[in-house]
Amino acid sequence: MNACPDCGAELQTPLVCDSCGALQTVEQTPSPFRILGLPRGWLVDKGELNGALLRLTRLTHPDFHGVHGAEARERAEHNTALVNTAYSTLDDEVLRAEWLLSDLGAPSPDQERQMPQSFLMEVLEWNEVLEEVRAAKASDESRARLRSLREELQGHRSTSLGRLGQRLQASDPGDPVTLRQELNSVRYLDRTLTELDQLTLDLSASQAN
Amino acid sequence: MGYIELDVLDSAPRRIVIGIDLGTTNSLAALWSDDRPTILRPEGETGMLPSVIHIPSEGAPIVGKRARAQAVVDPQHTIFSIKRLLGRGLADLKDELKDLPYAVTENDKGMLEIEVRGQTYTPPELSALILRATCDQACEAFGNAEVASAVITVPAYFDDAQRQATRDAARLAGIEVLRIVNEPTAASLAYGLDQKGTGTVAIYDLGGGTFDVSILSIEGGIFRVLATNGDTQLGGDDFDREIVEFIREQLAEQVSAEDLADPAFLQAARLAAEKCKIALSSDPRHEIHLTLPDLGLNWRRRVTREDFERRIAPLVERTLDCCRRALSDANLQPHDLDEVVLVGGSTRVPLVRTRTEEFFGRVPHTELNPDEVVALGAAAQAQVLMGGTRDILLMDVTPLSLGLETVGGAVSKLIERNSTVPCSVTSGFTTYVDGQTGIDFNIVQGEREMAVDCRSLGQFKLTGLPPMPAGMPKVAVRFHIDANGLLTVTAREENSGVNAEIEIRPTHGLSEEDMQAMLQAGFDNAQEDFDLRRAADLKAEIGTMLLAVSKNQAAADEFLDPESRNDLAQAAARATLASEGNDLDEIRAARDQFEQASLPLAAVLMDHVVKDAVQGKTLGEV
Repeated sequence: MNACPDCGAELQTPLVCDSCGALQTVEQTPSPFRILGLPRGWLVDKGELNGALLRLTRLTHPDFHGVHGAEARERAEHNTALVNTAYSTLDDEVLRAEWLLSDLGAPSPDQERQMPQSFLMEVLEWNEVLEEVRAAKASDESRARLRSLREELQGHRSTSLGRLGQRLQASDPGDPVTLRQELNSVRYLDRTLTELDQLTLDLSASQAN
Repeated sequence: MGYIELDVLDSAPRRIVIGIDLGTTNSLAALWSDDRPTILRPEGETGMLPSVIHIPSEGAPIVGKRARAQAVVDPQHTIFSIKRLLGRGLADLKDELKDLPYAVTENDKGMLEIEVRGQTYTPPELSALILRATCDQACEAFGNAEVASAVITVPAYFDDAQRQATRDAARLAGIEVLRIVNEPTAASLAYGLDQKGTGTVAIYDLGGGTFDVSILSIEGGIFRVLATNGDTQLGGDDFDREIVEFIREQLAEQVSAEDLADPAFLQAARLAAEKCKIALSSDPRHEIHLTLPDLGLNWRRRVTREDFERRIAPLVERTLDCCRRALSDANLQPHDLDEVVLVGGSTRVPLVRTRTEEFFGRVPHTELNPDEVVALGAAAQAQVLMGGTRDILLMDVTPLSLGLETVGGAVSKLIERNSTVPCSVTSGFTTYVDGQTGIDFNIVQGEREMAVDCRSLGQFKLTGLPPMPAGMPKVAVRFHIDANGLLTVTAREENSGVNAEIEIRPTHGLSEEDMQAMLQAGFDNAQEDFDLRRAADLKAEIGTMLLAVSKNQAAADEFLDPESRNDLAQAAARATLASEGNDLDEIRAARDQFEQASLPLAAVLMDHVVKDAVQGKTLGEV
């Protein structure tokens, strides 16, 4: 850990000094775990994450640095943006997994587009349900089908993420390509869920009118 | 002379920092004092300034109540709901235009223009007039003050173009913008200060022209927005329009289509509709009465609350769709909320209250004055920004996703909606042609997949790249949304370390050049205004002098020598003539000559006063 150039206190985060409140100059973007002062790994305690966000924001937010001149305000904007990005990276399981994967040197989604084989058959079934609902008129039955499909997709998502998380938390995560494929399937599920939610909204809107 | 200097110091206006709610229908200002925000209102008034502008045939534009009074008498020269046009293009407005009694066009730069009396005004210029009048009224209420800077509120769902336009308006009004704050967030601040609450809160803000819903978590003085949604073209105005539409339908047989589109008719119908809406908030029925002698119209029609509710129900449902999306983005269910707060004048409509209660499953909080909370919250935020308190902190979000148009016309998302601001993202670019020194990109805001379905913020042109083989330059473009929710773009070529220049051509905004031209015109006008006022003062003085001379004509005839009498007559004639014109130099010269020429008469009169006094008369009796 470095020391604050203003007061010499040890820095708990590279962004700001806890002790004198001086905003630090940050050239390279530090890891989200370092920014928020949390242990690196898949498991993140939500309470600690929230606590770190609020504590750091109180120190860095531009609202509290506006009276200290344009340069201080600029630095506050920059450092608070880093806090916010770090928070959203760790708060969202997919983004957190993405960060850990890229840190492990796994291929990007563009380099490795495959999903696990076992997953593909189910994808076809789900798409069929969505197509049928879309073609049918808004009805209680359509809504019920979407609800149960949603549950199924959610179940798959958490199983998939659970498997991925277990490997990422292990001392040896194993083959990075299969990690990427697992994460690809989670991303696919997220896109399908978004589509499904939009469809549900459209159904209730068309019934209301 | 010490006391005079002190006096000068005391009479210098106090520079105040205020919060301004720049509303579609009304605007108002608040100030932090004695540990709480208060509305600045002139004695005996509400402080609400109608956001209406009237352009008279002569003289400066009129803003506020007097302008609103002109709405029926002179609809073509009276502009209302200008906020709905801020940062927009003609294509965004569609069916809204047919209800406007004045012509709206788009210039070759994509900027809307309103033509009144042969002069064109852009929405930021007109909004600037409202901001200026709001500040003037606030200063008047405070007594001997001037506005140093201000926090100005905007709907949370305003996109970058609409925010920029608001900031441009403030700049044109000569107001330093301390911060642009989202209306529901400002309201939450006022609510939080009032209730000292902790928990998850939904702010449902239905104003005159815009709707917002924001879900916040309030904890230890930190007001953190979790998600926001809304519609910047949905508000109480649309309720009025439903009634106007109803009136038109009813009158379709007895009034020609041409007369139904007449500005005077539209404005009268609009005001009758507004009155009807307000009445139906407390009464179960209301009689619309429309008198237009020019059209030979004297029409009455009873409307029940049920009729009204049937017509506005789809609009209210649209607000609830926004609430659904906001909750879904925040990963919450309605029952997860600890409180629902209604803000904005349109939440007085009973259907809005019952539907929100049903939707959220709880009685909404309505104790705060829905017209005032936003301005009060803005004043509280101004206090924070001035370093006055660290007890409260707002963490707001950007309402819309930000993306770049890709080669196929799709959108590549850079920043997701509901990201906490400030936030930044850096994206890499390169060239396609050898020696290419510039890159163009189109930045869009919105949730749709294709760029054409989103709002284009403008064409950004990256220039000044050192010539290199295609694909060699590595340009890092940083998109930063600041605490105001405003976008800034900076770029750097990483191999050479050269900072590339970014040229921005806003799709529906003012470029820096336009802005400078308008500010210059403003200064020119200010000089003109100043000259006119000075001329008016001098004319008044001449009037007083003419009156005094004619009152003492008898004395002049009796006691003045012929030469002085002649001089006086000539000077009076010149002054009378000068008073009829507006040539400041001539008026000033005429007044000076008149003053000189009247000196002998003044001396004669003074002489008589003294003589009379000697004869035992008092001064007052002369």
